[in-house]
Amino acid sequence: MKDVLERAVDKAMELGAEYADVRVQRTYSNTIRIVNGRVERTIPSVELTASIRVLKGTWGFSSLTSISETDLLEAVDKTFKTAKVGAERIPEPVKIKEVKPVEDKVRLGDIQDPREIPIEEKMEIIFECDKAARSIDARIVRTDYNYSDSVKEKYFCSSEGSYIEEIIPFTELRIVVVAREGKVIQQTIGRIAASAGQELMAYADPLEVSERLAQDTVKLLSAKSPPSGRYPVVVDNGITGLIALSTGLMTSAYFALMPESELGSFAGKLGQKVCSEAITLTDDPTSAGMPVIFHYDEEGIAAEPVNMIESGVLKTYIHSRETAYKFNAEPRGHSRAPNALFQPKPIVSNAIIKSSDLSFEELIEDVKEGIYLRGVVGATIGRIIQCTTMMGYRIVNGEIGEPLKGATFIVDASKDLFNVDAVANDFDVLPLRLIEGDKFYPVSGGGPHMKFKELKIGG
Amino acid sequence: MTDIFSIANRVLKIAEEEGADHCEVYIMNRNKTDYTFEVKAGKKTFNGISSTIRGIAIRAAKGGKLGFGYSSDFSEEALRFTIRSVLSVAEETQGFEGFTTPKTVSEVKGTYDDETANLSIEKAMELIDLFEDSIKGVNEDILILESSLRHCVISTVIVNTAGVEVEEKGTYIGIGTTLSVKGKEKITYPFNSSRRTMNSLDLEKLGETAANDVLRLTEKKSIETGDYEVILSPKVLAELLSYSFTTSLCADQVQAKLSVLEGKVGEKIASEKLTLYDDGTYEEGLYTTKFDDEGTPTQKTLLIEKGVLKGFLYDSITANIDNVESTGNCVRWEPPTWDVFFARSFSCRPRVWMSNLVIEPGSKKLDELVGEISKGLFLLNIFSGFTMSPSGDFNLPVVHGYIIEKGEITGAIKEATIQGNVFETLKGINAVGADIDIVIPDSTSGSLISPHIRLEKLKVISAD
Repeated sequence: MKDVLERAVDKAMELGAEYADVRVQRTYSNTIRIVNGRVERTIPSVELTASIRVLKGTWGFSSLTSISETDLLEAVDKTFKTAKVGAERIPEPVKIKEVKPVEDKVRLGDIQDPREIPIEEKMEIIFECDKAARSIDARIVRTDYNYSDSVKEKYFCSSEGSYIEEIIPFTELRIVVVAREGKVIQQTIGRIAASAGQELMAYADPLEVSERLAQDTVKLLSAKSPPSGRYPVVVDNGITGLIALSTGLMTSAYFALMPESELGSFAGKLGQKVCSEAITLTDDPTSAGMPVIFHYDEEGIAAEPVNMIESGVLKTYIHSRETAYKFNAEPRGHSRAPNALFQPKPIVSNAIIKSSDLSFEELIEDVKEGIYLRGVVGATIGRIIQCTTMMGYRIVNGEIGEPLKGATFIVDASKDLFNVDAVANDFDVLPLRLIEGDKFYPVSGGGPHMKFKELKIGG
Repeated sequence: MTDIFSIANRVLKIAEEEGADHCEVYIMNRNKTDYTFEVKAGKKTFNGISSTIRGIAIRAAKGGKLGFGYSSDFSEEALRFTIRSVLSVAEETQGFEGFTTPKTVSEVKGTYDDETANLSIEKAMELIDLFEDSIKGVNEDILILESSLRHCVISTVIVNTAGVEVEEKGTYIGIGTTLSVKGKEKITYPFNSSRRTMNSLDLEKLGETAANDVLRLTEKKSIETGDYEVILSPKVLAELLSYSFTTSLCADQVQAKLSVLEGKVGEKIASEKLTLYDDGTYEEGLYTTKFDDEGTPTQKTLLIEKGVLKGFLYDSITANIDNVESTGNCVRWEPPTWDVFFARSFSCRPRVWMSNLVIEPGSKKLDELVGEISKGLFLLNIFSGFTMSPSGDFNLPVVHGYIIEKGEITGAIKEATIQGNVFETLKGINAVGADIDIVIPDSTSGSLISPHIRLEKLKVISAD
């Protein structure tokens, strides 16, 4: 592999490029979907993706699903020409921050490789969970299990002499449970995911998650609808995670360079207060047990945790080499891409809001009449975060009261993030999928329970 | 192409060696180039991307059980691994009686052009200049925040053990821009258009249309909540029809008793002004192909005639269950796969889906549709209808639209949401335009070929 990738970047440099890199990713994957105890689909796949990036005044980029030398060299020619012609039509050439070349091979850790486990065994676990969920109550009318596992082999080679290989596993189970009584239909969603192998399906206890979801769904049938209006609101770890993710995306220098874009509201805000002092926000692609883990980013830079927001103040953006040059900052390994077919750009991996030392009881003790929201069903993010939650509870005089059905709430990032009163001392993380046009990134958000002085709840 | 056929036949051979009774191989090659100029923090930037994606999808059956899998790695090792995996996950499949047998493929026009396929970067730059000039020619105050041109060649090969051996090649080209107006920078207007060949993409006219639209959108006014007579652009109609309505027309959904149209063939389900086809052979259609994604010839299928439901869409498996012929609507798509031209992929399991939905044009010019409204709205663009429930209920924000008073456009809608049920909405069509546009919905596969239509009334909620 190394030789052919080196010949491709060498060819780009011979043509006159300032910089070139090649990425290759081979992904072995299995997806299984079981609906109401019946196998809906099982899809095995092998995906080979590769791309070439050439800098000559601006970027040229080509992606392909072949790693034959002929195809790669042909792509280099085309990519170089694209960059050259494009550069003549823009006022300012693109530059990248200098970095030291790296040579490294990161192997699979001590995991159960999903490729070595027969599909029947994987299905057996899901069947068991499904059966358990459906036996909780006769009012459960639908269960939907989406399982997938993958092993990614990644290769990176640059004209500066970097050559990196890294193997990354990922296993995920998403569970939807629907209950019905007469005309009332309620739904809950559970997600288990980590950069891990088949062992996740043991330690994450999908059976327990399934039973709990089923019990919650049935409980919701008789729950009251949430009220509408502005209330003091406490959100659970997953919802905090969603807010961490949305805020984290706004700390990407890529979006900060587009002030008019939906995620561009942190443009020009370095060193300024962008949210409540209760919020310290980190992006960490390196901690064991997190849903997204990598040692090197898509530009071959070693990944490290970065505190973007400290006590409400925007300390730094996360960068690619191009944005790092513009802001005279250091790239710290946060450039990502869904696979080798796409251009890298700075995107958060695990966006985490730091916990405090306050217990959950202390967090809610001064709430006279408020709402406690739990569970993310779905959300759109940006300047305005709109989220549908799974369920809620009333908070009355500092105590958790009657359960409520799911609510939608709206967070206006420019105002409501300043309204965060306090965060608790607990922690959990929610694996999510970030969808942007035809691109799809595994991401996660996490943190403690979080309290808003006031938030808009819709019916 | 010969080497693609030899790879496909090699897969059939490996499948036989691995013990498959039936096998089908689908190979897609997509060659796409995209040039974008974008103003970022006040400076013009360029991005040039090209991609060559090919992949192989395999359906194989053993002992009556059918499996599916795919690979974009064409090495012998990867292909054998995929076939073994496919056979290991094969399932009992109701309606599967072997793969499609050979038939004469459909004749299609205007779907391929050498010049579009081989467009050079220099020529592409000329076309972008021409498009930008036609925008600036309308008004000097218009700001071009983004302009892009993309083109694509897709070739497909299907080979199966029943003797099918077909191939096809198609081209696509599209232009896009995001506009604003000096002094009104908060209003941005994205505009896109795609066609099959360079000559059918009228850049000067498209530039003028986009420019005139953005100028009219700057006079934002609040509206009151209420029922309005409303004109829907083809794009808005595409979003409304794109999910729950289309889903209900698919035989697999009907057979699973998930379609609200089940058992309604012969009944009036829409206004008598509405006649609707699915037409995989439409000249220059974005989803026009000679054969569907399992090799069945495409066709024009009448779905609604003067408001009366006439039938459903079928692939070979669902057709066997109902003992009818396939309508050539086997489509390799599933959410969230999306593409600016042709949202189908080797990585998606075949299912029943639309190709080009075609609404038969009426006789009214757009001026007449507007002129006959005393107080109403003209919706240009709404949020994607992809989130709609199978019931057809919608609650979608308006992205851009005009206010009509006494037969004239007098301003643009500031912020509003439309509410209703798509099956009810279609009963309220009171006029169908004579114009035709080819548009694609934001999150689903398939295109809509449609005129503007007018609704008697639509509930519009003001956000002010």
